[in-house]
Amino acid sequence: MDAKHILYLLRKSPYSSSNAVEALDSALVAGVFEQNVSVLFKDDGVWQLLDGQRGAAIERRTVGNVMQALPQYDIEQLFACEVSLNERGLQLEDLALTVKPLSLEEQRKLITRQDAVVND
Amino acid sequence: MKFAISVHGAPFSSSAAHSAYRFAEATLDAGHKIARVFFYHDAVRTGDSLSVAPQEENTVIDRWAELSEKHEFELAVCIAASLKRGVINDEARDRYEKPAANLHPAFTIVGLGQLIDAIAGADRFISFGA
Repeated sequence: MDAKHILYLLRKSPYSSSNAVEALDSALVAGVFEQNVSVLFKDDGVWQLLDGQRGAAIERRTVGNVMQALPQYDIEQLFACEVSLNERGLQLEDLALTVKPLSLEEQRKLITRQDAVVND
Repeated sequence: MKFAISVHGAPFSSSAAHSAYRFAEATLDAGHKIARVFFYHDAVRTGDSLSVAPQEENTVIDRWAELSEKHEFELAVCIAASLKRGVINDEARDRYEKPAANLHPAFTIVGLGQLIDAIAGADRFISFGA
């Protein structure tokens, strides 16, 4: 299998649907298949990064825990939209994972570098 | 060029399956090939053969089936996403002791690896979100 640059562009809040957890599952599988995977959290998708989630309280898988498996699958290119974080008053220290905040221009460049973009 | 397509929105409540179908048709008309169409998230419901469309709307499932047969590409439904949403084949019906199977015969149930395989093997990939 060829290794491609695949960006997961995640824009959905963690518990409003199962899309967030399913999209992360997909990214993990891409990691298993040794693709060059990056993840960009954007819009309400940045809520997925919030520390201290407890999905069990609403009988759901904890999105934050699934996300923390990303580095174990060699997925270390993790980004968040700076504008989305600011709009929601989120600081980097509120997050469960180390991500690099990107400006809109930097996101444009990131997307341009990809072979494929998978949305959620 | 070889295309891979992923569909993520539920039929009827989202325009994803319909838009993806129109895109697939246009892609083939332009002389390109489609390797696989992968249905994920709520789009797995596209493979439900029990769906009955209202009179003025088309059942997108029959159109996908026709197009995939004519142009020989795979309609793949993600297993993890489809089981919990009640889109199951004969094998899953027996295994989980369910009263019926409803997966349309033109569709196959596959793992997520088949999405990655399609992306890796295609020249272009496009996903239709919810």
